Amino acid sequence: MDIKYLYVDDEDPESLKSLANSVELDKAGHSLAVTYKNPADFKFSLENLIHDVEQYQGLILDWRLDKIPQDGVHFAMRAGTVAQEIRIRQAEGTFPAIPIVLWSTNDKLQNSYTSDPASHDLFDLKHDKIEISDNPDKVSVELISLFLGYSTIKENLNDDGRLDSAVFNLDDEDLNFLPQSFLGYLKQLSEISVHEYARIFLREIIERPGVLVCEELLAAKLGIDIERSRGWFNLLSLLEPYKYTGPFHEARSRWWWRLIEKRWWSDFAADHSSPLYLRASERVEMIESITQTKNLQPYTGIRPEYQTDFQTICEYYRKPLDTIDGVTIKEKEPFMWQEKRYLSLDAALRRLGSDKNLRPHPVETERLELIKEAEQADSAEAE
Amino acid sequence: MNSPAELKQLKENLAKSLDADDVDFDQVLRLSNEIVKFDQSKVRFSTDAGIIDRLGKELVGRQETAVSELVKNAYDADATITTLTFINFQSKGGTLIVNDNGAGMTREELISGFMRLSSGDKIENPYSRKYNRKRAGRKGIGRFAAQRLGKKLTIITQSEKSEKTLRVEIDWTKFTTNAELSSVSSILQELPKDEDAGTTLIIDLLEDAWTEAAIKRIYRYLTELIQPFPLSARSISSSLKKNTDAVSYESVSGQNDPGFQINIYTKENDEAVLLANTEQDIYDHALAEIEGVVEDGQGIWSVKSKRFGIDEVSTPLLHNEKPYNYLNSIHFKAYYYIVQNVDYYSRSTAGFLKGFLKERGGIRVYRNGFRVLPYGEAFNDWLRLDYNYGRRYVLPPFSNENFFGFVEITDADEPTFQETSSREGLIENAAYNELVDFVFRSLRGAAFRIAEARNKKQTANQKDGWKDKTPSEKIAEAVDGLEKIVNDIEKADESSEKIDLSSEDSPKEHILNFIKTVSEANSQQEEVRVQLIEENSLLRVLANLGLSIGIFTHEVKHLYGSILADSAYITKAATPEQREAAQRLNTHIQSFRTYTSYFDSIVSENVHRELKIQDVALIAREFVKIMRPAANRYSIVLHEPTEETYDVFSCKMHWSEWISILLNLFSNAQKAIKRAKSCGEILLRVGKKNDFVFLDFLDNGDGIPTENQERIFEPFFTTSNAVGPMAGDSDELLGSGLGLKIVKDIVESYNGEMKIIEPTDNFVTCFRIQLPQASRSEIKEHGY
Repeated sequence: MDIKYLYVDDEDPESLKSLANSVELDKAGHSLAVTYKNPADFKFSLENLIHDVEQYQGLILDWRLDKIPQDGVHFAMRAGTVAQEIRIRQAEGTFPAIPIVLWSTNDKLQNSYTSDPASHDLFDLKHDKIEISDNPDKVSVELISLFLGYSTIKENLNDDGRLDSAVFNLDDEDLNFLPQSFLGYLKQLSEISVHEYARIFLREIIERPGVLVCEELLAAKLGIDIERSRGWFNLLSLLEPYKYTGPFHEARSRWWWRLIEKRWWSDFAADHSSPLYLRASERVEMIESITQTKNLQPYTGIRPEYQTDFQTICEYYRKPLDTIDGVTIKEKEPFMWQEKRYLSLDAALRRLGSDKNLRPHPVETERLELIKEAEQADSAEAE
Repeated sequence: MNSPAELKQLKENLAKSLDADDVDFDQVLRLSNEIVKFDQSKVRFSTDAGIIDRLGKELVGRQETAVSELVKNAYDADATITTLTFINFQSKGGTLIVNDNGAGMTREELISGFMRLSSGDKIENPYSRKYNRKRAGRKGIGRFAAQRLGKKLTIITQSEKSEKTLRVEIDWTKFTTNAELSSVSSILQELPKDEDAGTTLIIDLLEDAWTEAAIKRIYRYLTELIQPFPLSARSISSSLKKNTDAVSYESVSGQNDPGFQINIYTKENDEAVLLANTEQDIYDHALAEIEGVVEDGQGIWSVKSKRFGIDEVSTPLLHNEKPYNYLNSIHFKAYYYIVQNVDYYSRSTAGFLKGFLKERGGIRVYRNGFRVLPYGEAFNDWLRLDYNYGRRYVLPPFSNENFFGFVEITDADEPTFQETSSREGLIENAAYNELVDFVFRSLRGAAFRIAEARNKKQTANQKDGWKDKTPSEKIAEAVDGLEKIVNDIEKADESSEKIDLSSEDSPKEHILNFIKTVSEANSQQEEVRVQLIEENSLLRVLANLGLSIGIFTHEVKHLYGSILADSAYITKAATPEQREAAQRLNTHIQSFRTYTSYFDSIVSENVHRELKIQDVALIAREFVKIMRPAANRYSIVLHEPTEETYDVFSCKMHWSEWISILLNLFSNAQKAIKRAKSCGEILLRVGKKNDFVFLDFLDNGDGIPTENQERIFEPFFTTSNAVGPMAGDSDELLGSGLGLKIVKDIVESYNGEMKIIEPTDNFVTCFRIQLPQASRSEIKEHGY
């Protein structure tokens, strides 16, 4: 399928063309084309722009579109204004459901975007222009996946505005294993537009752990040290049936944890309803013996003194963690079907990850302070 | 009694004794004495042998005096080394051996000198033969001294002229009352000679027990009593001569007397211990040596100091613009020490010196080889050193405790000095006043010269002490002093006292000193100003450079997007053969980006003038991450920082200041590693200590020599080649020598400290940056 994005930016056209070119891709039956345009091309009219976007499958905006051109006329808007207008029209059903992506440099976002969380939900994705070039293919896949995800959601919307569970691409038996809280949550959503569903998929189902887990979390729950396990990919291929294939799956690998735990694991480890009740070494031993997978190594902990009954990962190190050795992070309260996220004590005590917005939850402050005080007292004694 | 028959009998006995083959001289003497008693027309004095004991007790009361007298005899015999050995001395009955390498005695000298009471030699010859020493021993006391000390004396002596060594054993217990003195004989032996000349006295069966303290007391007394070494005869003038025409210093007092050395051993249970000659140690520790001489009425002094690199001779001094009239044979030598507030010595040496100088510091006076008291005794301030220093008339260290030395007066032939009749000092005549004037002015001149040299070395060192006084402090002190003088003058006016303008202590002299101080302060000020200008101009260059870097990184950032995008596009579009190069290009651009964005964030951070507490561990981690590519390029292993504890937050400061500190230290370490040609390693370590946080920067470069450890923080000190402020090459700019100074300035501006500490593991150098810790509440406020 040919997927075309419109990219609107007011910077130097030459360099932006390069950027647009770098993410174009023709792969696996999909071709991505990105067309760069300057606000001047729309005669600095929002209406002209919106009208033009209709011909594309997606829109990419620079945050600042208000660079003053030489003749003094300009587009006195931020990307937020444009996106807001389009989202309103999409909700009204007067504008096609297409993804909107923000491309900018971090320092430009610094002032108006960062301090206005309301504008964050307007965009499906945000890319730092400079980082795009680090891995343009990844960005391409994300753009394609966005389009495909939007399409899947659209296709699975019932007449009553509810999302058909077929969107998950699971058979009925599998669906029954999913948490009722999750399915119930989706059922109560109605009368919301495609981009709202897209946001729920991207931000709640895929980004936050819960019904779906990412590769690191999957490995943690199985007790495996990815870096030291050459057999990891063999095991992943065994778990292929439990891989998420719903909207936006092309850009992010996720697995249905519930299915792995309740179907796959329970099949061969009848005595143990979940690997989470075992130590990492026991989990690995069992997996190796039953699946005949070789070269798996249990993870031994971020610090040698940490427990190995891993349930989660440290969001900073992205390594297996027993929640006893971590603190929850400060984030929006999770839904029932979501998991809390953690920082290992090591990272939390050393304030690692604060630049990635990974901070301990305020309820953990006291515990951290106590640990620090004890440490201080120890070292004072040692002296 | 007295019957003719008895006389006859005695005569017969005498004749018989004289006739015997083996004459019994004792018997002959005894019989003769008996016979003499029959002389009816004449009478004679006779001497009871008990006189020896009585004279000994009366003439030599104390055992210490007795030993001193024996040593003085050795000195009088022109010995250069005298060795005293006390054996098993701690209880009665021990042995003392006094050995000297003096002239020794011939048989004649022994018999008619030593063995003859009240001999006239010392009266007839007040000066010794070889070195023309003025004789120290009291007339005829030596033998009594020996008798006072022990029951038995063995004399072993040989003179250059004699072919044999003589040995006499005297048993003092035989000298009992009622025996005729001359009838007590002692055995004299002739032995083969085993030394050229000299005398050894072995005193056995000592009458007293000795203590170490008593022995030390004697030692000190003796070493002070006799001038440690002659000045006039030695070549002290050799350094002075060069400036003083061809006037030579012919010995006034003796033929190159090499001096007189006393060694004292104590020996208990065959273990001989040499008592330390502390005076020798004292000389060795001097910071400077000052010598002076007056010739042809002109005073000249010299100062030599290895430590301060001084070797200078003064211009001739005059006394009130006239030649010194009375000083024709004056020399002095003084050793100079500064033990106040400075660390020229190890702690233990400083302690020893302080103690020694407090008690014995000052300038002693030796007249014709012998000490004149009380000059140089504790509390004696004959040169008014303490007076002038205490009142700050002289600012550099200048008290009696700063000097150890002596004046040599040689006026035996033509006395210009007179001792008081109580033998307690010199009469303050014109010669004495000139002496005080000359020595004082010489010492003061030398002290100033040393201060000047120290000043140069120390201005940047910021140590305490005179040198470190700021110009304004010096000026303030001078003003104080001037005010005092004005007050004194006013008081003098009121009481209509006349002020002697010519004396050393006159207001005029002090005012001149203050003028000197002020002008010194002025030139010091000027020096500082010039240094600041240099520093400033280099800082301006660096500031401009900083601005340019800021503009550059900011502008460059706008190009990244397209550079990176093009590079990514090229990589994608490249043929398989081109792909590798394209990917390499991409990688290089990426690391360039990381590097510049780091600097860009420094620059933009600097725009916010607000200070924040700084997470030092985070700074160290970020720094290591960013600098790793640079480190790799220099083949330096940049280790992950060691974090000793949590929450290492420094006081509120700029993030960029920390970066500046780390970049400077990194550049410094990288150069040190390059010089060491070692497999470079750098480690950062952060932690907390008391109320401070610290960051240690360790490297295994070539290290910093101890002598440079202070200097490396000075502006423009660099181990790279010296460059001016306008150096063009960027490498040279990095070697400007301002790096560590900037770091230190930053750290100190926050009341922190930068120092070099003992490195751990295999590292060679460790810089510690220590800054006040952020408070608990500040950390809380800062949030996570």
